[in-house]
Amino acid sequence: MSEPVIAIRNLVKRYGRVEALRKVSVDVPPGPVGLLGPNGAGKTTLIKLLLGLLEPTEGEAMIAGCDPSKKADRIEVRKRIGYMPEGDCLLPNTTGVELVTTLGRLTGLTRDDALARTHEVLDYVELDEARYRPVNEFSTGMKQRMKLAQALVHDPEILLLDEPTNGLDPKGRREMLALIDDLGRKQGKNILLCSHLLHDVELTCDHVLVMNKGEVVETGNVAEMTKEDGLSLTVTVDGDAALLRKTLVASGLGVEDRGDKLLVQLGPEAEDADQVFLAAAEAGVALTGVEPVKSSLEQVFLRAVGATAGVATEQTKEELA
Amino acid sequence: MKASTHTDVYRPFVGELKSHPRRALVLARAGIRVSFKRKLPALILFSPLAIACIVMCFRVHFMFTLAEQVSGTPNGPEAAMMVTQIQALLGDVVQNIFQFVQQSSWFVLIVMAWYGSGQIAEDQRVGANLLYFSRPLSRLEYLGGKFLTVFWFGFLAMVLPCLLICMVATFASPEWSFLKEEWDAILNSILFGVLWVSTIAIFVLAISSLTSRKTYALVGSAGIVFGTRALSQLLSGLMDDARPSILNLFQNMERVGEVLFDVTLIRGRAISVEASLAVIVLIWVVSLYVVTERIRRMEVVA
Amino acid sequence: MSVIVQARELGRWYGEVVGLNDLSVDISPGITGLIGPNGAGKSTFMKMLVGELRPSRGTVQVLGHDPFANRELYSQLGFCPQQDALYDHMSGHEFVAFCMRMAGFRKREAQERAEEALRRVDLTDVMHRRCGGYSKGMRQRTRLAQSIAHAPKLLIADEPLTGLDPVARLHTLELFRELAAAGTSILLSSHVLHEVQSLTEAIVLIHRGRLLAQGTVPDIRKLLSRIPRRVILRAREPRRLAEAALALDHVDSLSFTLDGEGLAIETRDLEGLCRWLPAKASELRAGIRSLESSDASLEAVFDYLVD
Repeated sequence: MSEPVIAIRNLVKRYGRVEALRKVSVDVPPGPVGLLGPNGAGKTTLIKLLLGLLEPTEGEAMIAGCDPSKKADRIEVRKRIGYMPEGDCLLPNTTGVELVTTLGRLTGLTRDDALARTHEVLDYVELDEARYRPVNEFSTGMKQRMKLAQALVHDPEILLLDEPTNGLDPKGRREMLALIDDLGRKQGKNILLCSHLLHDVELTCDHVLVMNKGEVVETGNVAEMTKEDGLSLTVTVDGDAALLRKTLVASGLGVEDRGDKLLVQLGPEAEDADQVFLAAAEAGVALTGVEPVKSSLEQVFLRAVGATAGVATEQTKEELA
Repeated sequence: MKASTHTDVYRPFVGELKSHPRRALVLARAGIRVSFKRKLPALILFSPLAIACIVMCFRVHFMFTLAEQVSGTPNGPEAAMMVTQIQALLGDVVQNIFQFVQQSSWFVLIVMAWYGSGQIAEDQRVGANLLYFSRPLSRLEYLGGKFLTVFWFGFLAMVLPCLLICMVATFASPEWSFLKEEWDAILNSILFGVLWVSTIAIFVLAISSLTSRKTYALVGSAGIVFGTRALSQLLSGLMDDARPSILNLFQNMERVGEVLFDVTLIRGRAISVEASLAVIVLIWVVSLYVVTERIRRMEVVA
Repeated sequence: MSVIVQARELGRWYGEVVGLNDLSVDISPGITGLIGPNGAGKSTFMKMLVGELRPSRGTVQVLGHDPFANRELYSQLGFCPQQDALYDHMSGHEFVAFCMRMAGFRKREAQERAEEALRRVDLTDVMHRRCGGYSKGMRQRTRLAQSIAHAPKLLIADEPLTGLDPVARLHTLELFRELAAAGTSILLSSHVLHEVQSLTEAIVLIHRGRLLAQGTVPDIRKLLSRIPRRVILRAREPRRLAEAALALDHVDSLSFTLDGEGLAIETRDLEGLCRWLPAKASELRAGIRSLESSDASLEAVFDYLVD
């Protein structure tokens, strides 16, 4: 694994009696990384600690080689991070261009650079003429783009994105995911993406971090975690499923019924599904789907947070305050 | 020409970030721009002040031209008389300025409360502090930016008109005598204006930082100032004593102004100038404490 | 009853802004997904169904009644609004019990029903705390509890999954299945299409205030015959397969994925292709590893219909 972007050692954060983070130690690799966990797992606390918006009770969190709990480092590190908060947070009566320009200049861009960058990032997020309108007239989708644009204006190497697809309709969500995918995989940004939609993380991230009850309970590569086991297939049949089943069993394969589909166990040395197609040809049925069984990120996640108990672990704000 | 295509959608930034940008100024500029977007309140709030200022300018101008006409051609003892006359006039101008300041002060308060009360409250309401403090912006710079924004409106409402009146007096007075002989009055009016405006600015910001609604902050800051004023008048009336006027911010400011401009509006004041200054310092200390504490929380428990 | 919601030429304007325009739709019992882009009119439609808004034109019948200001109907309807409508000073239990009192239950029963509903949304642990301290997900679930506590015949839920974490999402989807199995009809809106599809095949798709499609997802896909079906194969020998597929006259186009292992076939006759494939693949020893015809998903159908 290459040099970690974020290195966390024994990080503890307590709010009064409640421990929001309990001795977290984890290395976050470069590239797009998903941060998952039930509400109250400590994700937001972690992000705020990384930005220096919270002081750790114990331990340290290093981001891009800086320690945000030190004042000098905090200012330095914030130049290299772009943060897209979850809430609305756009000031009314400000136009899109004004807002991004001002925030860019606050980060240290000169006036000219700030204007040029503003238009470039607004082009990138495809916010067209709307950029000259006040942000309070924006739709949810435009607001989310706007928030991404302001996080990108100073071209940071690290992006912290908190629920970027919240409230978006299917089209808006896909476009936002395409942007995040491009940033992480083509533009080489290091992304920490918080989302409740495991699907979003599966599409855009190479790596995930699962948190629960203030601890990191699982980390790993998405592709490895959801790898196909290569041994079983889900087969969707259009035609006489029972006949196909009989034929498959006759050729020595294990078959189970899964609703209207068949779960087929291949032999250990099988590299492809030729046996299944052969059986289908013999049985004279059509196949509309042949998919290798792989564990979804959802299963990985539920396993990691201990499935059903998860809901009861959520804490109210009062407990956290 | 060599053919090339530039289809990359995202372009990295190649320039450099300034290490010490004047962030407070950037923030203030943005704040002022946004506040001035709504034209009607600006018109309503500033036009009375503008009218008062223009009237004052004319009055000062007329005083000098009249004096010149009346005195006619100067020779002998008449010349000496004219000098005394003009000197009296110059004193009058100073008093005029002070009167203007004194009369417009409550209006300036409303202007600043109007523009200032949203400054921090609105940021808290929408959560914009997350956008600001995730950037290399220190709390001091944030406070500075907000302070400059509110100060600017006070400056426009109070200090600028004073300077205008002084300028008119300078040009209208014979041989720049106003500038030569009463230059300290110009300085004093700037000083007094800045003192008043900055005190109100920090006070309004402190109230603004306590709520997340602009209207609450507006009602709060105006309410406190006018409420204490009413209270002091009531107490003075009941006790038949002028000392409760120490509660009245306007009275304290007047007291300081009297000393600065060397004029006396009310003889035998119950409060000493030291006491008035102490009250103003107290307002500063409390407001600064409140506002810095609240901003610290905006950054850390944002 | 075969139709629980019947709308005829339903329209609603907000001043000059159109909320819903000429919507005619019949909704059958069971779970129905109401989908559409932001601003399509989903919330407007739902508010008219629960009688919160009066139609500007047209008629709507819910469970055989006109819902506007119809108190009798309210006891059979559950509504989970999108707006964050909770009293911060009340506890979750107090709030739901209060809603039940409003619905006409006696104090004792209201409390029991509140308790039971909150148990079903997994809020038993925190139900006696103030709502002001709840997280977004908890508030969402409290609103849901309020809408199911009186065991309505029809539950109308506007984006009930928004703000929920993955575990809570799963539980809520499960709860909907249980309710449906017990005979409650559910109309829910959501932007997360694969979750809707995991619940139901029956959808109503609206766009710009108008009905764009209704029915089950496969049926709707079949109606879109002008758009060729897309099949993606991953195989050891994709080019040999492609060569053979070229001879089929219902195949419109063939393309390879960048890694050279995938083959996308667009066809006007999906069944024909799927019948042809097994024999041909075995004959060619093409080494197919996977076969998917993903464009029959709700996501794909949505994309085809909403550009």
